[in-house]
Amino acid sequence: MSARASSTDAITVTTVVAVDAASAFSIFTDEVDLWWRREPRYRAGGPMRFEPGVGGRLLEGAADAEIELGRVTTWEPGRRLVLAWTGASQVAGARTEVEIRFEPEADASTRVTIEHRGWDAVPARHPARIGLTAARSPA
Amino acid sequence: MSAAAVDRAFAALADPVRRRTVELLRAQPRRAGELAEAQGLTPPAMSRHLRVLRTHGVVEEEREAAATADDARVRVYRLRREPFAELQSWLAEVEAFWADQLGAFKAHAERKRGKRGAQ
Repeated sequence: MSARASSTDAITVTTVVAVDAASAFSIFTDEVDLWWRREPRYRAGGPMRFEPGVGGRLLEGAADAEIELGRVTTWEPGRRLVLAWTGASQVAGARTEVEIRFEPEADASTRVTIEHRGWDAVPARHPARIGLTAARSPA
Repeated sequence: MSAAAVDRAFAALADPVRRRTVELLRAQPRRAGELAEAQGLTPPAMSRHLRVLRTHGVVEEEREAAATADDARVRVYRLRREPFAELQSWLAEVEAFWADQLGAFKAHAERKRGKRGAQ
């Protein structure tokens, strides 16, 4: 696992997973509820799911509804996934973007890279920022 | 650094010219004229952006040393450290969030593969 924060606009984290790219993509999306961390800093507690395809949503179950964490703008199975990211703050206008890339490596493994970008356009006290920081701080 | 100061820094950066200016200043302090030329801006336009960056605490100016002592208008702009330390620390939080998620994804995907016995 390696990570980098070389500018103020984007963060990138990457790792190599020992499954092929098609499997990595389908596990990432179909099984998001199984791998997305369950501690309070990562989710409110409800089940999570992807609606497949462009226009689909990444949803997290809350008490009596589902909240949208992101909306799919690019859906290329086995290759690439891009989400217009709202995050748990549920405030419109943050306009950050999360891209997940799946790139084949040797031995049928896959480099998976997550890039979360567009932060320069988000004011410091915007709930999109505060939400994540606050959610992480108690634990 | 106060939250209000971080607000000001972010507000100043919500503009492509000012972000580009910050990128140019990362390498080294520069004169306003160099910054204008590098971006194809008129001196007054550059001056306006630099004023915003200065009043928001992102850059500071200093008189250039001896060689230009006669000309008080020649100033060099440099990045202030504080706002960037704060921005980087905030991004480190975002980075930690996704690094944790990616690690959890990797563990799950490889555990699943192991259970299937595939190799």
